[in-house]
Amino acid sequence: MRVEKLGYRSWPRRSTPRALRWQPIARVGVASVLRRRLFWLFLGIGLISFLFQFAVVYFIVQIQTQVSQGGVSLPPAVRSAVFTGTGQSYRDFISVQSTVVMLFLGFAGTILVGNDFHRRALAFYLAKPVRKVDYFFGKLSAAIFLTALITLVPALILYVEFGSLTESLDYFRTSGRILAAIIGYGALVSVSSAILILGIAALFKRTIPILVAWGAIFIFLPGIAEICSSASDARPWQWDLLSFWDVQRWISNCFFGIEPDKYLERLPYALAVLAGWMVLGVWLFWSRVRAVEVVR
Amino acid sequence: MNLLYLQNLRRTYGDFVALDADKVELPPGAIGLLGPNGAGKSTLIKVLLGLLPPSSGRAEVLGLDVVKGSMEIRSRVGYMSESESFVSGLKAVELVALAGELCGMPRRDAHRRAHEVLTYLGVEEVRYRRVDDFSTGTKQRIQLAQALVHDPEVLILDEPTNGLDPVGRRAMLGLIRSLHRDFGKSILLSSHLLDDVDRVCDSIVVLEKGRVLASGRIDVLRAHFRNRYRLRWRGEGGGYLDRLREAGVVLMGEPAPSSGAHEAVVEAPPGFAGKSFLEVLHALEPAPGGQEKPVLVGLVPDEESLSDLFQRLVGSGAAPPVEEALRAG
Repeated sequence: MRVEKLGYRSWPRRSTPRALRWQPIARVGVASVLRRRLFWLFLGIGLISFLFQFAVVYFIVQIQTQVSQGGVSLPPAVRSAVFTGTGQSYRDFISVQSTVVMLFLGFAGTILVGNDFHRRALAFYLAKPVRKVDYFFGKLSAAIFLTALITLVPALILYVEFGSLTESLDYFRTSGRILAAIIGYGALVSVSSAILILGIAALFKRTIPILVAWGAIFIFLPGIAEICSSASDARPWQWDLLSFWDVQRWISNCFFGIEPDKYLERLPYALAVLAGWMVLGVWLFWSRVRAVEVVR
Repeated sequence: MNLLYLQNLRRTYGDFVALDADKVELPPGAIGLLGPNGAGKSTLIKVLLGLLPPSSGRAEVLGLDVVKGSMEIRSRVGYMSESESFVSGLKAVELVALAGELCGMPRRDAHRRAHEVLTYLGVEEVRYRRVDDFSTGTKQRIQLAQALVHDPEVLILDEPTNGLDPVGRRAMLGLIRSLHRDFGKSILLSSHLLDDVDRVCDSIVVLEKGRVLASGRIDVLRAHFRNRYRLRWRGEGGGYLDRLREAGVVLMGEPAPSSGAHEAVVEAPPGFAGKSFLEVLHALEPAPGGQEKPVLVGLVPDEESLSDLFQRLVGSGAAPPVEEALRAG
């Protein structure tokens, strides 16, 4: 029988667990973003650095193997200039990727959240058996996934590549902390940026205001921090707490064990500032997603 | 089990009372939610969906408390909002499937069901097109599809014919009526178009300024006002009408000529039957100057339209005794 002849049919109820209702929201969020060509451009830009490092790791390991078989090693200047598999290499790589992430999220905020407000999709979501927290986690998961696609995932691939290309697998055994730090820093960048963009996008809704606010946080505030800091000969580091980048970098340095004496002292302040940004992001998002605004 | 149960339900925004319903109790069926703009229809819908907590009182949908059981209510109710509410960039079938998944359907079931519902609603040809590009009529059908995808027991439809041309409107009402009559769906239809409600619903809730003026089956409400008659006579009727007025009959508008006679709609007080009209007529003395007594040529009960009923309820503010009588009816 053709489906057209079936008419209306009832549905035998089989329900998925209520705790998983955020999943379709996340999936649709990711799909909506990836449908835009602009985001493939960003993804491409983000992956240029990764592909470059990927190739460099391959060639350096090959060259080093060849050279060491001849009884010599690469000059330190060369080794320090390329990806060396140390914590600093991964930190620098994720830091570079974070710049692309900021651009990416600035535009993605409208699609993930802003459009739901001005196209009234909130009525669509919240009139279903979906709680606000499901909606939040769905959107957050989508933003985290997209961010991790540019930061965490490439960093992990580089880690696996570097370890696999060495002659023995000792690298994996001795670099547990680096792996944990990659995951920690990658998660930090992904989660903190995702929460912040959800809040900003829920507040401003449209692309241009979102980009202006985003630019204020990631360009204007670090600029202010730099000016204030350089006004004094002592260059007090406290001004750098205004910079979202620096706060993330200090925390990541603690993860990777880079200059621990210097950065462990700053860690509580950095964590407090980051927590403040997170709370602001969640509050902005939560306060904007209200049922009263749903049905007009 | 009632479809709708409200008791002393109030919703206020500061000092402003948006909704104030003493008692409404309606069984499953097709219920029309009538009221002018600002009457509190949207507020009532928000409360029923659990999106807005009541300030005081109690509301139940399908026997479930709107505060404690809002998730259960939303999984058993399909809601079609007055304004477009789409997830931008999705294709029709994706949007409807997403609605199904949000209601708890497994992904594969939701997709299959989305195809079925879109086919049933006659929009299967556009299912792979983006919802942003549709005409108003198609958008309304897609909205109905997303409300229907999880096979809800109740459909809450907020102005479903908004922006539709007459053909589209008739088709949409036909679909809604069919869902109620052929597939047993309960309908809560909010509309300012009385004709829409008249075609689909068997009960109404009339709201004005947040207050429930009347609620109940339309035929019962109409029966309360069935003491209306369409009276036709020949000859001068001035004295006759005066006598009727003295007897407590209310003249609804001025008499108008009609096919060589006069016609007027009158509302008789309770207990005033057709025979009484004749008695009044026979008791009339011949008019001075040789004028003939009026000849009664027609006396039929006047069927009140829903529009008249609505105007009467809203116009009169449904004075408490009338309201009580309606509820008792």
